[in-house]
Amino acid sequence: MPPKIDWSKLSFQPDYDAQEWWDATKESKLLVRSCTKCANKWWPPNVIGCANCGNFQDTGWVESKGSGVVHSFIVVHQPILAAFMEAVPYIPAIIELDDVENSDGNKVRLQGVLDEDDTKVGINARVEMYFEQASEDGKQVPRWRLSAQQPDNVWKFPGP
Amino acid sequence: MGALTGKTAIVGVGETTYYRDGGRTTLSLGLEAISNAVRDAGLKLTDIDAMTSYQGNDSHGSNEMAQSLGMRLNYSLDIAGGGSSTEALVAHAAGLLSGGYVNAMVIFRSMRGRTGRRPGGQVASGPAQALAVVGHGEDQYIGVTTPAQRFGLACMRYMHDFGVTTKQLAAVALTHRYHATLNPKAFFYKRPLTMEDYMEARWVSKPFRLFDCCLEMDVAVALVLVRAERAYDLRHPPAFVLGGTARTMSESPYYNAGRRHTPIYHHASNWGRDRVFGMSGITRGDINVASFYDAFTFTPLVQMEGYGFVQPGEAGSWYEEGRGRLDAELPVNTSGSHLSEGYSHGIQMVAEMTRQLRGRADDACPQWEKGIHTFDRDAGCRQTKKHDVGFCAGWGTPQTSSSLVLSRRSGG
Repeated sequence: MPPKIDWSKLSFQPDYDAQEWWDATKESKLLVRSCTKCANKWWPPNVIGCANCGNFQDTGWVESKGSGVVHSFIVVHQPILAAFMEAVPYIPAIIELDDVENSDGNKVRLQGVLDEDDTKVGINARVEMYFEQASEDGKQVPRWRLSAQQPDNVWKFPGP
Repeated sequence: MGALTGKTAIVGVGETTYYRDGGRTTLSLGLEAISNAVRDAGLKLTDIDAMTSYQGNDSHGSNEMAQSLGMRLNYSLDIAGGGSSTEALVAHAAGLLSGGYVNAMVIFRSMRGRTGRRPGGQVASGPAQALAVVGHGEDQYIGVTTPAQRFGLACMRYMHDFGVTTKQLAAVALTHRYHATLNPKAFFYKRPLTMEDYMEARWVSKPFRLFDCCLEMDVAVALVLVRAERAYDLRHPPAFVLGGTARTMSESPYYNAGRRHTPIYHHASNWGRDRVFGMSGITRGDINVASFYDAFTFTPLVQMEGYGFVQPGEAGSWYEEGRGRLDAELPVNTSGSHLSEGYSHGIQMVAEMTRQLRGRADDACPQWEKGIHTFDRDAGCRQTKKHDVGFCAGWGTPQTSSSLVLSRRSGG
């Protein structure tokens, strides 16, 4: 079961730099920052400058299909934000996207909440994105779940 | 050596009690810490002509402190800064003092870290309504806002890459706690921690259990610095500033928004280590006592590795072998620091290092104020046997670091 996040307890009023990214979620598009002057791409959306060439005035976007591999994760047991009071334990993860690379050829990483419990989640697990409506004006938040096919090398948190 | 090496010294340190239940403002806390530090130096309040502090819009500032103490400052500055700000402000003080711009500077941090605004935005009245932000490490829409959550992501990957175990994280908590049991100021004074206590404690955010996390407190701590030639005439042996780094950055912004993809736990100390030791004119082998910002058990590990005390991935076993305890290879975090004394946003570790270098750690020894210690740990002595050179490492995030080398001698 996906953790229940109460989106009404978050305020979706992005600043100018993140506006286009949130608007794209209304059309179910997951965008990643892309430099118009060099090949670089990066996360997060509200970082507007290109670390590869210094361009910051007209950086654009590429769309990701929204699949990737878990690079790291945590299991939150003690909630802080009101929106997540009923969601614990929930699993925020850093995910390497399959289809977006930066100028050095590294997979771009972003963050998302995984649906499953931590008996199934681990580093190297394959995940895929779906959108969930989060605001009355149609903004959506990317949510992530485990893919049907998993690799053999999924690393689970070592006990105890 | 650097142009500022040995030109200035920390001559006064002071703090308040570490409070869990509140009842005092950051003004009240700050005034007490500053007064204590100036008295400790053997100076008068009116000798102070400069004051700086760091805060997160959560404290009274230098001017308010000075006005309440009858000081008229020629220089004051309150910066927005988190962990690693103390060492940065010491570097800033060294420059201003050495240049003759000011004569005696107080640095303080006053915070209601327990009953005011806590790191991550939680307030005493309960969970906060929040603006949904994407990125910059403030990721409300995925429920990642606190340091435990943000640094936990780095720690989990670190454990994966090097096979670091939960017992090794526990070894950090147990080591620092052992030192806190010898520190009368510490929240956990005379209260040791066992491996069973550690393992049975609740999860905060896996990989962090309760005792992987620091103790949030209402507290203020202050330091006093003067130029070297004046330092000799004051109340205690000076702790000379040999060198440091001031909020040095890594080249990888948060979770590698940038071009380079260094590991997400790769600490900025990797970029600062040649600078601090080169400037100070010392090697790691010269250091007798050290402290590494311990917001979590994880953070000292990557700092030790970043500054080159051990190879990458080896700090956990180093702790597990007891090499950081008093009387061992390199005593670390001798006050118990954030994990077991109480969280002060870093500044207490510089105060503790100053006391250690003086040979006047405040412990159960009856004549500690005269620098006479028994070195009997069972009787509550916390003073290190060797204390010529000390090293303090501050942590901002994995991407920001500061450091400071202090010495009993102005030449290292």
